[in-house]
Amino acid sequence: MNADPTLKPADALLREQFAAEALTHLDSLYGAALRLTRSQADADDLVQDAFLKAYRFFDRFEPGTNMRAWLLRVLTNTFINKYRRTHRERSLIDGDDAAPVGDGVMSRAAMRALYDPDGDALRPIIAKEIEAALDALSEEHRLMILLADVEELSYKEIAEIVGCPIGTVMSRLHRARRQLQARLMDHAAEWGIVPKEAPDADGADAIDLDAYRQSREARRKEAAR
Amino acid sequence: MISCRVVSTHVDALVDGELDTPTQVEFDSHLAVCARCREEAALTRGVKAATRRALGDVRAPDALRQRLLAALEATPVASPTERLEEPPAAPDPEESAALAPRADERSVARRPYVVAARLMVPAAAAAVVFAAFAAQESDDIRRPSEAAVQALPFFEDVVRRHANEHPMEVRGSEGEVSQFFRGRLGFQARPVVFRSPNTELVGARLSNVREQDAAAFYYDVDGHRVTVFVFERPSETRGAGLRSGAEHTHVGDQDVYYRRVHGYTVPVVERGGLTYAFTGDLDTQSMIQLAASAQPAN
Repeated sequence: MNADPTLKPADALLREQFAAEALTHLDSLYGAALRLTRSQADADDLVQDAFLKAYRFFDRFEPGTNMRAWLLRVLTNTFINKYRRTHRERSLIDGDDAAPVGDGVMSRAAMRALYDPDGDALRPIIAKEIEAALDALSEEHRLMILLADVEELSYKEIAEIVGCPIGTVMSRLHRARRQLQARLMDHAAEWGIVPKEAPDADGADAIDLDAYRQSREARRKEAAR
Repeated sequence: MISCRVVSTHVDALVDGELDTPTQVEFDSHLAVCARCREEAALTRGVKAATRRALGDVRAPDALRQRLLAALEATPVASPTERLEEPPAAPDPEESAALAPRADERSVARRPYVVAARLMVPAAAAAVVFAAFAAQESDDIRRPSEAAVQALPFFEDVVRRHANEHPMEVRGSEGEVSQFFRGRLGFQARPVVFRSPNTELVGARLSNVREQDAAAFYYDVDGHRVTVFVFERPSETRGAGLRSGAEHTHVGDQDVYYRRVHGYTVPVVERGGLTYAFTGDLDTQSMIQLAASAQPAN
């Protein structure tokens, strides 16, 4: 085998295979990195860190599973391990208590357009509003929006990326979306669209359909009495 | 009627298509008559779509692509003992540097941030990752059902086949349904009867649970759809695997093993050398009681 000069060494083949597969997801990785770091230079570095780490551990990737989800997991962990530390000062003012992006961020017309998937006219304005609203969320909540809404991953895939149970993903995503909506809409609460009380912390409020069924059974029995 | 509060709490699962089928049906019938919840669902769906449109078409710069390909050339693959996730604790940068190969041996010295990531795992950041794993572990203890989703495809398969609502091949009384299965399976599959009077056999079909042939019996239990799968006890090793991952409880002098998967409770009992797996849209306790009371029809 070594005698044949046309054969590439195994590591070169592996490199090509990895590059071919991983680079198809580069836009996703870069988009997520950009929103997580909120800086183009940091996003470049984060993508490169994650990309090389993924390559070094390519044999841990299970063929047949979602490679985009796996790469996003490596990227997320890289971000948490390094960039969150580097930018700790920024994170401190980045919590849920941070003030909304401003009063009346969205006009009533822009809000209406949210309901209308074909409403193109206001799209650029809405895009700006959404970017600003997303950047104002905490890292944890921003990650939920990125994975569920932009990358459209399943709850199970998100749970694997974030390293928490599906119930926690559901409650975290719930709070992230309500905050995003609240930041987009000054009039939402007034209109009764956004519930005024936010759910409690993750563990206490893991969303549980079984609990719902039990309460439903209790009501049913009550009614039958 | 399902309450607005329940719909509101689960509006995300609704919009993301993550509800199980029976719950989806209940939500749909609520939305049909409740304008407020319809509006909340539409808003959530609208903001989700708008977010994807606004952020979903980011293009990575070509320069980055070139930079990655160049960096790849200089990167060796990991040795088998290295870990993908950063180790949980690295109190001393010197110590972690000793564990990892030197930077200059890996030709990454030109990119200082890579070196930083490898050699100076910040203790605080590492602790965040460690805490995340620790939290996952304790969550698994508290809610074993979610660990079961991956560990035990058997239970998942039962739930999937129940939720899919395949058409029935036979309808009628216990006798008629038993007659249908005669000679069709390697064992005599008979429907069960439950102690509760509000249960009714609706029909049945041939099915599988994993690679095992099975009979699926469909019941109406107090207005709920319940499916019972009957199959031969899996071989010793697989049978042990089935039980070792399941939770165990007693009803009277009976052993009932069960798992919760995707919000469904799946109790399993043995009757006359056959295994009976139950699932349906009932709460955990009701499902266990139902399974424990089941006896093969004569």
